[in-house]
Amino acid sequence: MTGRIVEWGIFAAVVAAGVAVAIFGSGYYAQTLFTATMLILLAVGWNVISGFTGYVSFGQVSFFGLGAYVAALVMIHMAAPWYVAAPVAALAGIIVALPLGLIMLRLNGIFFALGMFGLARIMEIIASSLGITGGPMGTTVPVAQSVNECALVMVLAAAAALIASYRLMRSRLGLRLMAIRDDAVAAEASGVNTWTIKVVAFCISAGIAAIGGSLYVWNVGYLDPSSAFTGTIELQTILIVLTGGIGTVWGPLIGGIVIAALSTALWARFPMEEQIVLGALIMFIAVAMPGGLMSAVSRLGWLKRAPIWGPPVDPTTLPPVATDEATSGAPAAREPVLSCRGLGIRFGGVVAVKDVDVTAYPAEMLAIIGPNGAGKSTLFNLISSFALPSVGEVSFAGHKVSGLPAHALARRGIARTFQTSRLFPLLTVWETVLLAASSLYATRADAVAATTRILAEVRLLDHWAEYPDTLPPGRQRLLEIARALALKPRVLLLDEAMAGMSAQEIERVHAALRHAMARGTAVIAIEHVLPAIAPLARRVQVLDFGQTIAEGIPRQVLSNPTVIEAYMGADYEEPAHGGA
Amino acid sequence: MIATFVALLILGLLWGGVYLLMAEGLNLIYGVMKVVNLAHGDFIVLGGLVAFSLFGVFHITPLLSFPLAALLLFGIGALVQVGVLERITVTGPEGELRTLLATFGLSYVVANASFLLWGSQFQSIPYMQGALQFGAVAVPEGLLVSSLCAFAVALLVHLWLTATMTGRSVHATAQSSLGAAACGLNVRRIRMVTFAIGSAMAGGAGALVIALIPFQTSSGGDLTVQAFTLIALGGLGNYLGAWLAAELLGLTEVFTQYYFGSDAASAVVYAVFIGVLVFRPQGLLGRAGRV
Amino acid sequence: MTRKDTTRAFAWAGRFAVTALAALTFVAGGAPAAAAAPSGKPIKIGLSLTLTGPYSPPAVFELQGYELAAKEINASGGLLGRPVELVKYDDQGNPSTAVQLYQKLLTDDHVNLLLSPFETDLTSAVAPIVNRAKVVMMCLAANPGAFRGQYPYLIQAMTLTSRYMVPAIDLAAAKGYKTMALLVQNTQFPQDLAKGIRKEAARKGIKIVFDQDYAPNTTDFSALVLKAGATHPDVIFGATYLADAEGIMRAAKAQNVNAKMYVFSIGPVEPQFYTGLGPVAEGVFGTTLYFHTLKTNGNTEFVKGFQGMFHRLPDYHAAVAYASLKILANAVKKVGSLDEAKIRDAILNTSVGTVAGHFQVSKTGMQIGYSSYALQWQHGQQQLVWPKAFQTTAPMLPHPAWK
Repeated sequence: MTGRIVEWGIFAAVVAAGVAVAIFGSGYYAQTLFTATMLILLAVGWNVISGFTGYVSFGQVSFFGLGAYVAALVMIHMAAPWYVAAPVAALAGIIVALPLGLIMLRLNGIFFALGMFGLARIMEIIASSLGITGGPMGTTVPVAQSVNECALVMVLAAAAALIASYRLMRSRLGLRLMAIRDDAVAAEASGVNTWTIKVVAFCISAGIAAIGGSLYVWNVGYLDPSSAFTGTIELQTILIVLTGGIGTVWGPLIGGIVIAALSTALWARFPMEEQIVLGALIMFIAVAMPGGLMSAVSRLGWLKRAPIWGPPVDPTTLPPVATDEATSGAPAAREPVLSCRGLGIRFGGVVAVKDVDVTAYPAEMLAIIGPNGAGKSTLFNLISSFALPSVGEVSFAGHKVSGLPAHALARRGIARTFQTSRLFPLLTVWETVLLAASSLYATRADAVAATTRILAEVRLLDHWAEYPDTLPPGRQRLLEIARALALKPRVLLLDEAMAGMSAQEIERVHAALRHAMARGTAVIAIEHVLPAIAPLARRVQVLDFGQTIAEGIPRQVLSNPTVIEAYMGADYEEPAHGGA
Repeated sequence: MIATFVALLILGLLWGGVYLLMAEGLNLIYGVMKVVNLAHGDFIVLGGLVAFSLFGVFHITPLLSFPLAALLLFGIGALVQVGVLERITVTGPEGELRTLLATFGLSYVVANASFLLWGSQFQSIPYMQGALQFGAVAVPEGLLVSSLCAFAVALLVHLWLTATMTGRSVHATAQSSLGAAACGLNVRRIRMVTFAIGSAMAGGAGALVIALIPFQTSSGGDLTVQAFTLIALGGLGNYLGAWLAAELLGLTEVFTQYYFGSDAASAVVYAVFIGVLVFRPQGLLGRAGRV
Repeated sequence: MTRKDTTRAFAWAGRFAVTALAALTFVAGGAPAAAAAPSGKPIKIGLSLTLTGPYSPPAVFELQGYELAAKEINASGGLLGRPVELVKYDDQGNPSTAVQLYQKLLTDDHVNLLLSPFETDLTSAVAPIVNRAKVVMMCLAANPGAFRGQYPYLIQAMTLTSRYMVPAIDLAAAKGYKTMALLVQNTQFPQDLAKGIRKEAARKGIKIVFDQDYAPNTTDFSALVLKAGATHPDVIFGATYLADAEGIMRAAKAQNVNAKMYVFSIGPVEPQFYTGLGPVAEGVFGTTLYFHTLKTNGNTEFVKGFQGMFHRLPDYHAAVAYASLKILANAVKKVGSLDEAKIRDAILNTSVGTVAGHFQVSKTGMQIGYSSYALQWQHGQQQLVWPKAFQTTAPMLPHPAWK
C-alpha cells in the first residue's frame, strides 16, 4: 500500500512540476512542454489499443488529424473556444472510429498495423481534396492567446488521460482488454465479447488522439493535410510507448519524459544523426528490451501492477451458496440439457466430424473417447460455437443455439477448456478466474466472492497473485477448469483436462467436478486415456474417423470388440494399471 | 481509340513488372520467414543511390550496377538478420510484432544514414529513355527492361527454390521451420541466406528503378507500402499471386489515371489495399501456390 | 556612464555611421568600404530552416545567403553600431518543431527580428505565434495567404506565386502558341501556382485544353501524359516539383508525346534535373526568381562574395535570402531603433533594387515588386532566355520532335 502512495506521490509531483513550468515558464519552455505532453497524451491513446489490447497501429495519426480538422472547423465556423472544440473533436473521433473499428479490427497483427497506415494516407488524401478543409493549402485557425495557457491545458489533459488509463486498467474493461491481447480465443471462451470490446478500445484510443489533435491546432493556429497526418508524430508516439513499456499504465509517461530529454539533447548536438539514433533505439528495444523501461523498473519491484479487484476476501466469511438458481439440484425427470443432432463439418475435402449426436444430462458425466484425430476437439468446437457446423444443430436447454457467438454461449452456460491449455500469460491466477466470473456477475462484490469461492474449491487461493507460467502444468490445467467453472456452466466441456496431472491433482479435479455435478452441471469430458475419468463417467461415447462407433455405459463400451479394434488397437492400456 | 487502349494495356503491364521487381524480395522474405521487412523500401532507395553514384563517378550503367547493388544489399541483409532479427527469439504474435518494430527502426536508420551520404535531393539516372515503336504504340525501353528483369529474377528464384539443395532447404523451412530443423537443416543459416537474398533483390531493383522514378532518401516508406500492398494482394508469399497482383495494380493505376484522373488513382491503390486486407486476407489466390 | 547610456551612445554612433553609409551605397547590395567594427550586445535575428530532411538543399542555399548578408553587414559596421547575430535552428521540415523553435527564438533567445522557415506550410504554421509576439518576420514564402492583412508583422520577401510563371507564358504567347496542357501536383504550392498560370494564360490568349491534378506520390505519369498528349497542345506546362517534372518528361519522351514547348515550375531550375534526365532535359523550360548573370543592383559583388565564401554559384534561394536580410537591416537603420512597428512601416515604404530584382510590398506586406525569369536547358547549361531584356541567349523553340 505504501508503494501505491509513493507511486501517486511521484505522479502528483511530476504533474505539479508540469503545471509550474506551464504557468511560469518562458514561451519556449511552455511550448516544449506542450509538445512533450501532447506526445504523452497520444502515447496513452495508442497504448490503449496497441498496448492493452495488442493491436499495434501504424495509423493512429488518422484520429489526431481528424480531431485537429474537426476542432479547426468548430473554432472557425462556430467561433467556439477550445473547450468546446476539444470535446466535439473527441466525439467526432469516437463516431468515426466506430465503423472504421468494425472494419479494421477484422484484421490483426501486421495487417492491422499496415491497414491503419493506409487509412492515414487515405484520410490525408481526403483532407487534401475537400474544400471545407482548405485542401492542400491548409487553413488558418484562431490561435490561443498564450502558449502558457496551451501548455497548462495539455499538461492537465495528459494527466487526466493517465489517470483514466490507470482506472481503465483497474476495471472490468481493462481486464477484458488484456485478456484479448493475451489470448482472444480463451477470452471468448470466458464469456468476453471480444469483438465489441476491441471496438470500444479502438474508439477510446481514437477519442484521446482526437483531443490531442484539437489542442494541437489550437496551439498552432494553422492546419494542413501534411502536418495533420504527419508520420513524425506516429513515430514519436510509438517510440515513447516502446521505450516506457508497452501495455503498462506508466510506460507512456516514463517514455515521454525520457524521449523528450533524449531527443532534445541529441537534436542540439547531432541534428543529422538524431533520426538514426532514435531508429536504432527502436531496434534495440524491440530486440533486447521488449518491456521497455517499465520492465527494468518492475524487476526492482516498483510500479508492479496489482491484480485487478484483488485481493480475495476470506472464503470463510462468504455466505453459503444460494441454491435458487437454474443450475441447482437435479431435476426430477432426466431431461437432456444439451442435445446435438447430426453434427458434421468438413475442411476442404476432409470430413472431420460426420453425423454425430451428443446428448448430455444434468448432473452426470459423458466421456468421449477416441484415437488421435478422431474429431473429438473439433466436435467440442462445434458445440461451443468456435466453429460452425456444416450440417446439424445444437440445442441447449430447449433452444437452438448453433450460430450464436461463442462468448454468448459461454455466458448462457456452456463452458469449456482447451486441449492445449490456453491461459493468459500476463493475467494472474486471480484475474484469470475473475475474468470469467465478471462475465456473469454484474457487481464487483459478487464477482469477487465467486472468484474467491472457486479458487478455494480447487485450492489455488494461495497462488492468487501468481502468473500461470509459474505454476506446474497440472495446476495450470486446474486453473483452466476453475475459469470454466466460474461461468457457472450447465454444460462443462473438458478437453483432455487431466492430461499431465498428478494423482493428487486429479483427485482435486474429481472433487470439483463432483461438486459441480451435484449442483446439476452436465460434464462432457474428452479423454485420450479413459481411466482418468472412468470413475465419474456415467456414459461413454467412442469416436473414430469423425463418427460415433459405440455408445453406452463404460464397462459395456470398453468390452465392445469394435472399440477395442478401432481405438485401443495394439497399445491398449489396461484400465487397472493405467494412469495419466 | 484502340491504339490508346493497347498503349495503356502495355504500359499497365510493364509498370506492373516494375512494381513486381520492387516487391519480389519482400515476398520471398515473408514467404520463408513470415517477416515483413519495413526497411525494404529503404533498401531499394539505397540500391538506387549506389547505382546513381556508380553512374555519376564511373559511368557504370544501371544494368551493370544491378549485381553490384544487389551484392552490397546482400551483405547488409545478412548482417541485419544475424545481428538483429535472429536475436529475437520469441515466436508467435509477440515475435512477429517485435520483428516488425525492429525493421521499423531499421528503416529510419537506413534512410537517415543514406541521407548523411547522399543528402535529400531527388536523384535519377538518364538511361534507356527511348522507346520501341510499333505503329502508333510506343513501348518504353526502360520499363520493358525492368519488367523483363523482374520476370528473370522471379524465374531464377523459382529455379533456386526448386532445383538447388539450398533452395529446397529454404522451401522446406517455409513449410515448417521446426520440421526443417528436425531434419537437420541449419535453419539459422537458411534464414540468413533468405533475408540476404531478399535484400539483394531490393537493392538490384533500386538500381534499375532509379532510372525510371527519381528517388530521395525519404522515398523508402512509400515504396515499402506499395510493395506490401502488392504482396498482400497476391496472398503473402505467393509468387504467382504477387505477379498477378502487380499486373492488376499497374493496370488499375494506368487506367484509373487515364479515365478518372491521377488523384483517384492514388486513393484507389490504398482503398484496394484495405479492401483486400479486410475482405480477402488470404489474397487473390488464397493459399494455393504458396512457397 | 551607466550601461544604458553606453548602449545609447553606441546607437547614436551607429545611426550616424548608417546615415553616412547610406549616402555612399544606395541600399541593399554593394559591399561598402570598411567601417568602424561593431560592438556591444549583438542584434539577434532568428530563424529555423529545414537543414535536414527532404527539403534541405534549397534551405542550405537560403542559409548561406543570410550568412553572407550578415557577414557584409557586420563588416560595414553592424546595425545601430551593434553586431548582427543569426540565431539559427533546424526544424527538420516538421511544423510542430518549427512552432516550438520560433517560441524558443521569441521567448528564450529574445531575438529582435525574424526570418521565416523554408517551406510555405511551415511559414503558415509559425505565422500566428510570430504575429502574436509582434516581431517583424521576413518571409521567403511565395504563397500570398499570409499576406492579406491578418498578420501585419509578416513581410513577403519572395515573388508572389501568381507571378512565377509569367515570363514563360509571355514567351509562349510571343511565339504564337495557342494551346496548353496543364498538369498540377495536388499540394499547396503547385495548386497556388496553377491559379496564376490559368489567369495569365487567359490574359495572353492561350487556351488551356487539358487541366488535371495528380497526387504528390505519383511515380507513373504515362497515362496522364498520354491523355494530355491526345489534346495536341502547343505547350505542356507542369506546376511541379523536381521528381514529377522528371517523371512527366520521361513519360513524354518514352511515349513519343510531342509539344512545341515544355515548361515546369520547380524542377528545371535544379541541377539534378539535368543529371537525372540527361539529353531529355535539353530544351526544357523552367522558372527562376534570380540568375547569376542578372545586372541587378549589386549582383556582381554578390556573386563574387558568394563564390568566395561557399565556392559555388548562388541560386535564387540564396539571392532572395540575401536581399531580404539586407532590406531588413536597412529598415532598422532607417528607423534607428528596434521598434518593431516602425521597422515594419519602413519596410512597407521601401521600394528598392536588390540582387533579386525590385523589392516592393503592398500595405499588407504582400510582395508586388519581385518578378521571375524563364530559363532553358541548352547544351547542358541553364540559360536565362526571357524576358528578352535579361536573356543570356535566345530561346530555342520549338522543341524538336522526339527521335
